[in-house]
Amino acid sequence: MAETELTKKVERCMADALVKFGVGLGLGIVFSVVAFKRRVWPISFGAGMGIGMAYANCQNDLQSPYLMHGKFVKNQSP
Amino acid sequence: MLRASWKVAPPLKKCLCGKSQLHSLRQCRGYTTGSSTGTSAGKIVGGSILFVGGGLGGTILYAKWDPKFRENIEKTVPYSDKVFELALGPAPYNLPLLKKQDTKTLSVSTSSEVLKGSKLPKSVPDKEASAVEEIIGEASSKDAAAIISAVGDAPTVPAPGVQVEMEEKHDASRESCSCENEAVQGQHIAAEEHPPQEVAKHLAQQDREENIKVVGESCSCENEAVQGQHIVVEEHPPQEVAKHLAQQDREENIKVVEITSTLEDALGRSAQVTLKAIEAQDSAIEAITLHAQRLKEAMDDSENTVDRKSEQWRALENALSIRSKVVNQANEAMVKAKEELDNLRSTIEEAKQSEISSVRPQLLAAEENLNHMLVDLDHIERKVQAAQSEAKIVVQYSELVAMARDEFRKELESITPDVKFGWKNLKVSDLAGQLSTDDLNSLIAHAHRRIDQLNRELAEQHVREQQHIEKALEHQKLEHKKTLDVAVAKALEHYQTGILLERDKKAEEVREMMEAELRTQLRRQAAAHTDHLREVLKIQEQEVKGKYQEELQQKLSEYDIEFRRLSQEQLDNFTRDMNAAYSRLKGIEQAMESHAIAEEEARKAHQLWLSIEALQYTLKTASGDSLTEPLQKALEAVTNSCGDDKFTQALVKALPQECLSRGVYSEETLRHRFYTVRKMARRVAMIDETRNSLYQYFLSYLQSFLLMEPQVIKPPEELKPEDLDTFRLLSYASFCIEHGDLELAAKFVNQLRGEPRRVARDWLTEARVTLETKQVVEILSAYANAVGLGTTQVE
Repeated sequence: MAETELTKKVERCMADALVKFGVGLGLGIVFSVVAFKRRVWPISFGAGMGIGMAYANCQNDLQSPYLMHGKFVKNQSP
Repeated sequence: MLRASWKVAPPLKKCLCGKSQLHSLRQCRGYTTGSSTGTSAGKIVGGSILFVGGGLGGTILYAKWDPKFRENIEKTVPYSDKVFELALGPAPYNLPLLKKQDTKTLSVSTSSEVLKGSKLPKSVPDKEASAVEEIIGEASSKDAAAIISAVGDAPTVPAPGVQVEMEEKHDASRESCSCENEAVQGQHIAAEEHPPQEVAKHLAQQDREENIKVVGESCSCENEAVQGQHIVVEEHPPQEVAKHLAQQDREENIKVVEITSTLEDALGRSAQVTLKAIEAQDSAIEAITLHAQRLKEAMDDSENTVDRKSEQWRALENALSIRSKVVNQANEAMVKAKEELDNLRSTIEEAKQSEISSVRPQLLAAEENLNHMLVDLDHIERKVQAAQSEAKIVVQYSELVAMARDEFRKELESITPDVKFGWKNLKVSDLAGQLSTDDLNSLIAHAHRRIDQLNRELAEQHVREQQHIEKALEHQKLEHKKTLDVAVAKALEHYQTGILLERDKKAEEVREMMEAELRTQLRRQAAAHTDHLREVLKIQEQEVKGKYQEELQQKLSEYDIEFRRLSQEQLDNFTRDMNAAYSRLKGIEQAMESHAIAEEEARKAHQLWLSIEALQYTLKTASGDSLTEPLQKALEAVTNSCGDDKFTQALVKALPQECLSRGVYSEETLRHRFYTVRKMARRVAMIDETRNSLYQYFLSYLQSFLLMEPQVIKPPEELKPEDLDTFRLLSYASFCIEHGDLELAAKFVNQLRGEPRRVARDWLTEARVTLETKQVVEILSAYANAVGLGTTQVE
């Protein structure tokens, strides 16, 4: 059903966002703890990256029907 | 407030999106870029103004270079089109829309033409089909158009076929007619035998009439011949004449025989009787004479002896008695003879009246005999009369004598009464002895006186002798005269009769001669006549034959023609009746066949209708949101019942596959689903093919909350471009859905673009399938109804 597709997509997005946020956050925390001496910025960086990735994914997912992938064809002589 | 919010949103959008327009269309990824805040407000303001102006100018310049970009801007930013018009001029993108509408109208008209139906198969079904395809978008419509045109052609086809049939029938009937004619002519045994029979009868009658005519003619000829031959005035046909003659001859013969027999009988009898009479008369004469003689003797011989006298008297008495007897007998015989003669005469008269010539001589002979007999009888009568008169004289004499004697006696008695006187036998002496003197004296005196008287008388007598003699002579003369007269008359009579007889005889002889001569002459004449007649008859026969033949031929030909005409008429009538009957039969057969066909059609139509109704029913059975049953089975029933109906087959093929395999949604389901779709569509109303960032999604979501469109708006008759807004369209669709017009709703939904379209896509397809199926089923139902109507016979 096309009408439910969107809601599904949105749900996926949200789930994805949540997951990525969590994973980003976690990785941030991990990196912050491990590499960056418990600074805040890796956490926010990680979280932000997570959200950003989720956002990009969601966008891509929502845009996917409208994307057209073209190939650059060199002009070949007949 | 709605408008205000509506007006707010696009500038907000614009100002928010303005920065992203620097990129190309599809590859635009709208990133929100951060703006660099300046040091002072002035700088900020100036910078922002510069930035905005630059943006505007850049936009305008780029729009001038790229019309699509301009389009996009005009689409998204509400009053940008006016700005662009001011700056650049009118936009060049209005034409495609108009073209689309024209094609749409064109196709509608052509399809309407097709649907109206044309008798002639047009050679442009392809174009029409292509035009129709745009509207309906299916390949089956081509078939439908072809079928409609074919259906339009259908009624015209049977007519020439029927005409041909009719012509063929006519020819066949004519052939059959000619065949029948030939058959009738060849066979001469028509079902109706009256005309030939009647004609034959007529001919026969005519023949008979002709025969009769001919016979009549011949009869008339023969009549003429008969007239020529005989003196007879009667006109009979020859056979009849001959017959008549023969009959006459026979009759004559018979009569002759009769007459001769009667004559002979009569003659014989009369002869016998006459002879008897004559004999009787002779005997009578003899007797009379004898008697007279005896009497005379008796008178005279008075002096004979007494015995002799007595003997004489006795003899006289005998003679008298004998005479009387004989006379009686003679009279009787006479009478008989007279009678017989009368009979004979009457028979002769009758025979005379019969006018048969051959009897004449016999008649004459008979008459002669009769005459002779009469003559003889007369003679005898005369003789008898003479004898009788003589006898009378003698008797008178005797009576006188007797009287005198009686007187004398009486005187004597008177004088001498005592004396009985006998006859002279007594002598005087005896007398003297008996009488006295007185008596004697008186007697003598008396005697003397008597003698004196007698002397006186004698003297007187002497004196008167002469007178007496003269008287007597005269008397005698008279008597003689009388007798003479009588005798003369009788003789005359006899002579006359004899003469007549002779004359008759002579006449008879002459007649015979004449007849013989006449016969010979007539024979000669007859011979000549017969010869002449023969010749004439021959000629006439020829003529008549010729005429007859001619007439016969003519009549025959006439009757032949008549017969032919009548038979032809009969045949024509018969053939006409046959034709009529045949055509009627054909008509009846055709009617029956057409009836049968119509009933078959009706049955088929009924079946079809039933199957289509089943299809419809299966279509309607939907519980809740589930699909209907797959229509495969019902469709199979329809295909079975429709048989070779191309229309139905085409329509059946036109059904979408999904409905067969999977079933379709009911309208209710779609209705319910629509609201979900509408909700989703509203939410993504702003998302189209171009700007699809997540932010847009959020914004459109927000818009859907903020924008208040009425739930349902009645769609206008014509759509304007501003009606192509998502929310508007959805409202229209809702209205249509509410009012049950799924088709229009689908049409409106079809106008959605971008993401709302994608969201509504499934719904749209389902709606489309449903609509298609419904349409096809409705067409089928209408078709079944039409067929049923067409085939039902109004009774």
